[in-house]
This record gives sequence, structure tokens and C-alpha cells, in this order.
Amino acid sequence: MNGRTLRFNVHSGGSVDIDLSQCHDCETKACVGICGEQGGPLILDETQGIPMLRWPRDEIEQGGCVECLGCELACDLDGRQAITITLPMEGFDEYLGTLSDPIVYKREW
Amino acid sequence: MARLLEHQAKQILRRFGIPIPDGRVARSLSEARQVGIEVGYPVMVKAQVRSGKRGKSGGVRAAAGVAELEAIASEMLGDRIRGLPVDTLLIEQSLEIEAEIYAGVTADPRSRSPVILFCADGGVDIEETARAAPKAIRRLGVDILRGVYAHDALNLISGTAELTSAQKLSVARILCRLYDVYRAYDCKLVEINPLALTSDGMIAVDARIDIDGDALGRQTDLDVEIAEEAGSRSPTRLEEIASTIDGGDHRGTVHFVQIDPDLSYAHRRHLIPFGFDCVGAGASLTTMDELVPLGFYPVNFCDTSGNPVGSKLYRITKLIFSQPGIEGYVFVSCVSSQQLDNTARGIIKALKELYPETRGQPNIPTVLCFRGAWDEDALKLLNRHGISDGRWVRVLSRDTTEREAAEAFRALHRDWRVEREKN
Repeated sequence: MNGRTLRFNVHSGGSVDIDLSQCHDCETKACVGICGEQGGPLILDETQGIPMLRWPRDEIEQGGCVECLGCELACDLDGRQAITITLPMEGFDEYLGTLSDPIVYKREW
Repeated sequence: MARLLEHQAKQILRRFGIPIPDGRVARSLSEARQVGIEVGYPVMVKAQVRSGKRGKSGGVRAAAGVAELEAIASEMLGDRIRGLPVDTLLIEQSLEIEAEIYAGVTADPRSRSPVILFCADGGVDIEETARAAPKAIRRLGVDILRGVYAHDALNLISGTAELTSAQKLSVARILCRLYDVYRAYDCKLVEINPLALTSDGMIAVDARIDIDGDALGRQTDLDVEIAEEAGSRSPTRLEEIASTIDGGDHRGTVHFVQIDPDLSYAHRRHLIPFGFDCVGAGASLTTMDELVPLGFYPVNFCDTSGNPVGSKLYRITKLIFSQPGIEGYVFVSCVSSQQLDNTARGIIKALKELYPETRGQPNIPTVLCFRGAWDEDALKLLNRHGISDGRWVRVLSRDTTEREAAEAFRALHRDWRVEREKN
């Protein structure tokens, strides 16, 4: 935990950041509710009103987190938009920079 | 599939006791000169590209001395052979060849077992031999639990009038070793063409090894850049990036190939290019079969199956949408045990990031057809996140056929195009 952010890495390369400053006032704790429902182990648990990790970080990074993305999407809909999952692809941003034609999602269509 | 370069394949053959010509690789003119000195003239200069028919394309040439070697090397390095850039040459001793044989091991889909192939008439046109005189190619199915013995291989090549008894024994040994390579490296194909009969014995003059892409996780000593099969061309940058998605993560697979990277084929045929993703390669083919006659062309093939984690779907969806010029996106799942709510989450996260202003509703015609396990959960998620309400989105459920999905996409695209022309 770094200050008020809970961060852990995931197996495919990337990280989950939970802005805990938002969590005390969150009534749903939707991230905890959905974690573990997707067939993987429950890795988030509520402790003293905030989500905390139930397993050591290295076990989570080795595949304990099944990267269902449920926590981020549930928090986005039913929580306080406190979770950001960052999943980089090596070389992807550089590739986008080389394109001469505008990408479809940047177009005014 | 990952195809090794000739020089990489030959090093593997050498480790398994199959004779290869003396040779080295060179990546510059000075290296080529040095190899010429070490190997001794005359030499063969061979462009290292992943393509067949190099000889007929100027990619294999003989050099009698240093001046000729320099001329050929400077011409080849930086040039393209069959559209592929040449940055490495294999320079080998030139051989006096008396006869050429074909030897290979591959998978036989009918018997679902390895099969050893042998043809006394080897050389550059083995494909033509296979078509014109299929009986000339002899086959030996192998039970992988038993393996193959020299006497099995001898039986395969018995009656070959072109070979003496001693030569048959050499060929039989090489066939057994070739099978060992096939098994040890999880190959789809191991091929020597030609296996040359020389005064010094049998020598593998050219070699091809294709590794099963799904086995690369344990073939870590191979210097393989990308596992995806891209025909006879080098992988595109986007294919290279897509190949990193699976990496060492075996929780489901993502196979991505750009069929028409610059959209030139679609434009030439007046077809409408679109991005494409399917759960299951079979569903992909049947959906393509429905969409192409309607005037559309998938610029990529993509199969996301084996129950991939949501993060893989997120990454590949972003990648598919980043193909410039696409006028739509189609996702179709086959009916399988894949957990489609996770699939939906990956797509939703990607769309929300790509289209933040509309909270994930895309600006191009988008058909999302979820059929299979957890498909109702997937539909609920798309609905709750507002994706289903998108003007250019059609979400389809388990009762939808591929034809209906294709027709839905056509109708959506027609409306979209009318709207675009108005503006």
C-alpha cells in the first residue's frame, strides 16, 4: 500500500490501483462483492471499511487474480470509480504513433 | 506456428547428428568476406527469409570467389526476396550433388499421429510431385508411444532403385533422427529438401522447421520472435504486439493475423473492411463465409478461445480497433464453455477507454453476438454499462445464427453509411 492507494500486480503484466480515499464512503463495496465470483479465488476482502488483499502479493501476481476486470467495472458502475486497472502492451503506443491515417476511434464519425 | 530460419533449423539438425554443409551466417559485407575465407570457395549464398522457392527468386546464388561473393552479398543484404527483407545471409560450402531426396515429418490430421514422408525425387518442386504423382511420396505413420526404429524407416524406403544399400541405411538413420527432432521440439513440420547425396554421404542442403506455436512456452531455447502464422510474409508490427498478449500467460489464447494489413485487397475488390474477433476458429470461418458475400471483408482473423482471462480480451479489442480504415467491428462467439461474462468485461473496458466521451459506445457499426456459457451475464453487463444502447451497436444472443449476425451487421452498416453521407 502506497499512501492511500492499494496497488498489486497481475500475472499478464500490469497493475490494479485502488484509491482507498474513496472507499470509506463507498456504501456498496462492489469490488469486494464481485471478487471471487468469477471462478477464481477471492482476493479482495473488506477490512475496517476498505478493500484489502487476502493473499500475499506474489501469489496474486502468479495468477491469484484471474484478471476478470470485474472489480474495476463494478466500481465504475456501483462504486466511486476508485479502481484503475492498467494493462500495457509493449510497443502498442509506439505503433499508434506511426499511423498516418487516423484511427477509427479518433475520427469524427 | 513459428517457422525457424534455415540456419536455425540446420543447427538443430546438426545437434541431432544430421550432416549439414559447413557454413556461417553473415549480416554485413565484412562478415560475408570472413565467412568466405573460413568456409572456402566456391560457396552458396542463401538469403535467410521465411519463404519457400528462394532459389527461383534469386535468394540462393553461387559465388566462385571473393569478388562474386561481395557482389551477391551487397545486392542481397537490404534487398527483398519474395517481399521479405533480407538482413541475414547463410554462406555455405558448395556441394557436388549426385541426387536429391525429400525427407520430412509432419502431423497427419486423419490418423492424428506423426507421419514420416520420403520421396526419392526431391528438390525444389516437391509440391508439384505431390500433386502430379502422389504415390511417389511414401508415408509412414508413427505411433508416438512406440516411436520409430531404423528398420521401420528401411521398410519405408525399400525398393528405392536410386539408392544403394549403404545409402538406404544412411537415409533410414536420418529419418529416425528427423523424427526425434520433430518430437523434441514440438514441431508441426520438419523437412529436409533436398537431402543431397554427395561423395561425402548424405547432407541436408536445405531445412525447414515449424514449431507448434502453443508449445513455445517450453521451447524457450529457440529464438522465436512471434508464434503466429502469417503465410509467407514476415509478421506485421500489430501481429508482433498481439503475440505478446499470450506471452507466458496460458489462461486462454489470442490468435491474431492481419489478413489485409493495408486494406488494399478490400479496396481493390470494393469490399468494406471491418475488424473481427471470434470465440472459436470455426465460428470465425462460418461468420466470414456469411459476411464476405454481403460485401464485407475482415481485415484480420482473430480467435480468442480456451477461456481467456478478461485482460486478454481487453488488449486484443484495443488492438483490433486500432486498425486504420475499418468500418465496423464484429464479435461472434461459438457455443462453448468459455466464460463469456469475462469476455464481455474485456470488450467493455476496451470500449470505455477507446470511447470515453460516449462511455464506450463506438462510432462504427459494432455487432456483439454472445452465445455460450455465461452469455446472459455478458448481455446484462453490456446493458448495464450502456454499450447495448449505442446507436451503432447491435447485441445479439444465443438464438442468433452466423447468417443473422452478418445480416444485422449489414443493416447497421447501411444505416451508418447513410448517416455519414448526410454529414
